[in-house]
Amino acid sequence: MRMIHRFAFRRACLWAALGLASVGTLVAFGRLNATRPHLVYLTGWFLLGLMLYLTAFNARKKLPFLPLIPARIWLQLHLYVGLFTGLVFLLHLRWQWPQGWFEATLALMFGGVTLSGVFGWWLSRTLPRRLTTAGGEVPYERIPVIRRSLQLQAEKLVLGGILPANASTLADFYVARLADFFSRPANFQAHLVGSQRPLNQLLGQIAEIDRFINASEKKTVAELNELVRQKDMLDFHRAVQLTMKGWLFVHIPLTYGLLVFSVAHVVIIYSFSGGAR
Amino acid sequence: MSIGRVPPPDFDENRYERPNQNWICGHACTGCPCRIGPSPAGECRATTECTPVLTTKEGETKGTWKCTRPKEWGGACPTGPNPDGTCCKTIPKCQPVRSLRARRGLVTRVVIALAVAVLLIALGGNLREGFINPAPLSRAHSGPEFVHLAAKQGGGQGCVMCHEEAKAGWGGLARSAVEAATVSLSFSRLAGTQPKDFSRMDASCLSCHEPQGFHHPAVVHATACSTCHVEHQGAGPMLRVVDRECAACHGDRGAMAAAAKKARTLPAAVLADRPAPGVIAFVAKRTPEDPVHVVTGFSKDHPEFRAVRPGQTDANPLKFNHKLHLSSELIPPVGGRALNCADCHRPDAAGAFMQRITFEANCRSCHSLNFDERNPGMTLPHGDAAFARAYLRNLPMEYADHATRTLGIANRRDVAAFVEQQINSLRERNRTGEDLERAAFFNDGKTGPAAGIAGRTGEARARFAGCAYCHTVTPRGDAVPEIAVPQTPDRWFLHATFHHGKHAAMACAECHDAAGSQQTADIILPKQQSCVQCHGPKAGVAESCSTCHHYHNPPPTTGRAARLTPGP
Repeated sequence: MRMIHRFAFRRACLWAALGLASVGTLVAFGRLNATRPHLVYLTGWFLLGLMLYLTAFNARKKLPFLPLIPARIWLQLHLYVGLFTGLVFLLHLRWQWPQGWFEATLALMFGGVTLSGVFGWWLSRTLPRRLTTAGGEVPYERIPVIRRSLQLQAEKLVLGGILPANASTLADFYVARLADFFSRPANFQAHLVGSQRPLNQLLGQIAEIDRFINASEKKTVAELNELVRQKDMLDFHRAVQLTMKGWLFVHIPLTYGLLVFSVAHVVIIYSFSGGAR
Repeated sequence: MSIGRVPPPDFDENRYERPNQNWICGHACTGCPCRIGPSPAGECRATTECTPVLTTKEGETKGTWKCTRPKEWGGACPTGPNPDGTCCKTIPKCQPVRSLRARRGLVTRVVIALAVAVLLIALGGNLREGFINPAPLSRAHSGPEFVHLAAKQGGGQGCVMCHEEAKAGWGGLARSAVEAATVSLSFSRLAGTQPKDFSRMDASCLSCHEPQGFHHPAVVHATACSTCHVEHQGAGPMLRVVDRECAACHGDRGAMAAAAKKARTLPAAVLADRPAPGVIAFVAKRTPEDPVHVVTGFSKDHPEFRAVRPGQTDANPLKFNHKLHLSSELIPPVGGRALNCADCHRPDAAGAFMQRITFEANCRSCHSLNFDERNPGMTLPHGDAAFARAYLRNLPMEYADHATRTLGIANRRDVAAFVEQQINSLRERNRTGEDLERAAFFNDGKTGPAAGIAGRTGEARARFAGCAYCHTVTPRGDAVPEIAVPQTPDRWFLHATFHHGKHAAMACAECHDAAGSQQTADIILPKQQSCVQCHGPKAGVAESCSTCHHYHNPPPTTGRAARLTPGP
């Protein structure tokens, strides 16, 4: 609880700092714009410095042994500095979208990095809450193992029910409808939007065979229902956790691509300035 | 899988996942990874579940192979090792796969490689100019003519005309960037208020725009062309120069003080205004504090126009009274109405300025040079005092010519009689020819031997009072009197421009107090505050520097003055 309070306090402070820094930067830009002919270079270097700081977060995560700021605080700073960098970027562009191929590509990459970052931020604020609400705690790397375990349990359950019932109704149903469900991740998109429809459909299909089975098989079906629910929950965890990891596939590669283009941008600008603009 | 935060039932606490490892077992996706896992290089290390150990009891010679499978892997297997001592549990080989983190790293490297490749392709070949062009060039610097010019310097879209680096290799680009970063765009300069210096690119500009490289001799730091003329802002005309570029120097007290200091070291001839050839310009008296005015905006702190500052007078030697012409009852109506400004001041073909006032065009219709009221055709020549004196000294012949040409008298005897009659008539009024000549030159309508030479006839015809009525006439003994040539200025503001046509909706009197001016020396130009009433934030009409001012001036072209032109 104390940690949560500390986090909330830090967040309030950072919002206030972000607001102050933004207003201060806008005022300073307005004043300097009339008197500093090289202001666009200054905003450019400032922007590059901020981008390098933001990129350093990725390096920081790879160097946990160094006595640097704790990663959780660094992450929080990363978010607010990222928003501030967006403002500096707009000032650097003088609120005008570039028209050239190179600069438009550069701006698009920056926009991609920023928007993916904001999207990731939104995901990291909403998805963990959904995970907590759904319950369970599954490390992403163990999901295949758990899935196999559930699959084996289901198969064992269905096979074990054949002899007592002297019928293969349930086994046939498993092969036709459930084998595929237990053998691989399922319903990714539905889980992403929080839909229970595929699960309900599956449970409905299981309920439909209720009238064709005898009493001993009904007990097996009840257990099978529980396994289906567990597998569905596992798929939900997988979908959400994969999404939380997946946005970084855009954010991080694009960041490094942006840095490459930024370095080229600096060289071109300085080279083609001819010493003037 | 469990409800809440409880670990799943088959959770093996002894196994520790390492998500930061680059490779994971190929069987992991099916939920049954091997316990050894791939090597750091991504190779499958699966062999057997254990390495059996040969144990020999006392008395035995061969010994027995024992399974050594660890307890956490299930302990010793029931079948035991093969007779040859190998493990019977062979782990199936797999094709290790990259972990999620490793895949992300791979994607990152691919994106970096793609970015570098795109840059190499786009910057290294013929695509460079089109790729890095930040925006279309203005009409003046694009199109077939410009490409034709560029063809001599390397071709392409013409970038090389301004940017030498456009055709440079990678090394050239890097060298140029480093040079700029250490000299003209060093960090110490970036924070400064000084505008950009002349540069190689400006030299490129001046190769075509040679006369445009000069602003003022007192400029301490020359400004780059590109400071004010911003290119790559889209097709069409180039953007207007923005005020902040002017204010970078003119709003900087230090820069203006430095300019004033430099100006004091320069000869006056260098600083003198240079109107265009043939243009009569009003030359305002300079005051010592003139160069250090700090200006950041027209409506904010622009000084009073120099021409209308106290102490400034119009040095035109012509005697002219605006008030008299506009409002005096002594002047009868012309065409049924009183005179107004437009009767004399007519716009030029462009509509910007007024045509020059001349006697023939503007004065003669009222101010006749007829010195003999009995012979309206007898008028003194205008424009040269020597001609006028020769005319007066040759009056008998002039009268004879008048009789023949104008009055149609053909008989010589009748002509002679006419001449004698007219000369006698003049003698009655002006005793001698010298008196007539003196009256013609020096009478000013108020003083002198006679109040007037000729009377008034016709509509609004003013009498000819004498040359001195309008001109400053200086006697020079027996020589022809000197009549000061009028110098009515064509331009009042040499460092600014004005367009009368754009102000046609306004009455002249709103800016020019002509009705209150009785002396030629009066300067009836509007005050700066008069302009601000419209050209300011209240009325919203443009008040940018370039609305009135030109930056470029003709440079001094000879002698020392030529050497004062700021160089690159």
